[in-house]
Amino acid sequence: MAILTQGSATDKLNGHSSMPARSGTKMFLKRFIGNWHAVIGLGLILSLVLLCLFAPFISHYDPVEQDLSKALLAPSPQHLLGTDYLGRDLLTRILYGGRLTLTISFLSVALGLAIGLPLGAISGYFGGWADMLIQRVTDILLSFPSFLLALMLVSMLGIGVRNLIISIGIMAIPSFIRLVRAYVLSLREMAYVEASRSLGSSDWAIILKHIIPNVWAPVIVNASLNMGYAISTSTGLGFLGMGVPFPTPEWGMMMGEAQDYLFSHPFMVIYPGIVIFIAIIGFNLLGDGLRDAMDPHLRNIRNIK
Amino acid sequence: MAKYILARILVSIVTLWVITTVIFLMLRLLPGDPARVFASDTATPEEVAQLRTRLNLDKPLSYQYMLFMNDLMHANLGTSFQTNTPVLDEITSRLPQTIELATCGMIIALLIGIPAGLISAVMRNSWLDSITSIGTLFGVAMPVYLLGLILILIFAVEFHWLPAAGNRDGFRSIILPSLTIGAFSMALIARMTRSSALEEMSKDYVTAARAKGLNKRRVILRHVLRNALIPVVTVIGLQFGYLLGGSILTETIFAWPGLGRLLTQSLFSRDYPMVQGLVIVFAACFIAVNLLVDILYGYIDPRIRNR
Repeated sequence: MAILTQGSATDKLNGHSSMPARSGTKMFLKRFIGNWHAVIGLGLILSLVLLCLFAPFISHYDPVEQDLSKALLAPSPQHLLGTDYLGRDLLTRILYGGRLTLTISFLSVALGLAIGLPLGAISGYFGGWADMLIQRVTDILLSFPSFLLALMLVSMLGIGVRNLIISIGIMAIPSFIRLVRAYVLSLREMAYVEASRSLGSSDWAIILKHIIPNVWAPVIVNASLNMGYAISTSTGLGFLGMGVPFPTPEWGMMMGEAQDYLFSHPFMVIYPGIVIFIAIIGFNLLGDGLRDAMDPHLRNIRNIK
Repeated sequence: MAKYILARILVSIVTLWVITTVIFLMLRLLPGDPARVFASDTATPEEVAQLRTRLNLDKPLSYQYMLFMNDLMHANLGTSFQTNTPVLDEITSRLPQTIELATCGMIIALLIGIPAGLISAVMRNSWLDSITSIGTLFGVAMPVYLLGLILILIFAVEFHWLPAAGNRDGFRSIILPSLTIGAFSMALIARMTRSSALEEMSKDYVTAARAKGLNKRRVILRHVLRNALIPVVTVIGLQFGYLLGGSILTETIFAWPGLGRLLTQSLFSRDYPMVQGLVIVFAACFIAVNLLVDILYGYIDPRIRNR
């Protein structure tokens, strides 16, 4: 969930309204590059994404094919990270597993954004009964521990990629609703919104043209911070065996499977764990860095799940 | 104040009612036949039909809801498929272990998080501050199950200092699970304390207190810390919910006999009444903690209760 002070939203708007767009982009890039959090975060994510994307060129092994004669091999030039208990190359499985873990997390955050952004905008802009209704539903979503809610949904819907995305995506909705609503509440009182209204623009036109473009910055920051949480949840579900069906490689499931070998072959657990950690820390750093680079006033947004 | 507390209690009761209703509907209206989901894979159509009758799933929804609410009012959460004992008995026998774990996790988080945050605010940009901020970065990013397994590897497998699982070694057995479950909150509390202490330290009253001749330690502990902790209290409330969720993974890893492990076991053995009961209890705990935090918040910050 994100918390923000409303004062900062207004400060931000006042500070930026007179600034030409180009110098804004330039300033953003300058601040972004000067921010080591953001640069390291982006570097970590890009390397992971590229490695996973080019998996077939990096490794010629099949991620699911079993060869028990090669089970539990130590790292060697043929198998850089060794093999798992079914003789599958560990590096290959990590690379292919990353494709799935990162895609699931990305799509679930996208789902949360796609539902949370419009609902938050409606809730903040129109107020009244729509606001009441949306806020109560948000309260209810927030009164479940989120991991429990995702676990429940997956166990009801059944495991698999689509159901994972739905379950984790639903969890991400409230933070977007809260964030967007708080921004819209202060935006709708701005002079230019008032001006547009007096020129006869409809409410929807104002929302689409004037409100939503102005909430993108905090929304993207929130999305990046939510990615870390989505990765941790999806791999947590996979760890419990509630992720994707066997034998599809997925980081969390790889750790769960390897748990029985924790004492004899700890690195089967450690390697996928390290990449999960790198991915989460990458998105957290990027989110923190983006927040500072887009606007120093946004520092009050915190991911406090 | 009494009016504020009463209003908060009322809201909590309504929330709990809505949530139990949502749980009821979730288990019945989601795609897929619950009887099919909770019957074993090899169940014959007759067995599934039998299960449906046993769960009253063949009755109209409104009738099912009345039965469900009636049972709930009488503190009857049904009978476990697995053990054939009342769900409530099983839950109450496991609840203390989960509360013990969550409380120890929170105590560790507070005992380390608040001083770490305060020290790094007071000694801003020192090496201690850098260590704290790297520590919090890692703490927030570390998934529960990874930290748990790493701690087991180091302290149980490598050095044999602490037990890897179970709760039979008294104090020694709770150290690793509570560190695991509390790490995320610890990092977050340290971050919150640092930033809110920095904010308080820039305020006029601090300058005034210093100008008056109070020594720095006294100003920090008496004035800054007290005000800086207000936002931290809210985080603690939210974190308890996170701890309850975290208990599912932590208890599974450490074979800790609490509610979280019971939930994963019940999900896998498709013990439908147990799952339903556990989710209700989890939600009720979460709401109760939030209610307590709201009331506490009203005491700390008088502006809240007059809103």
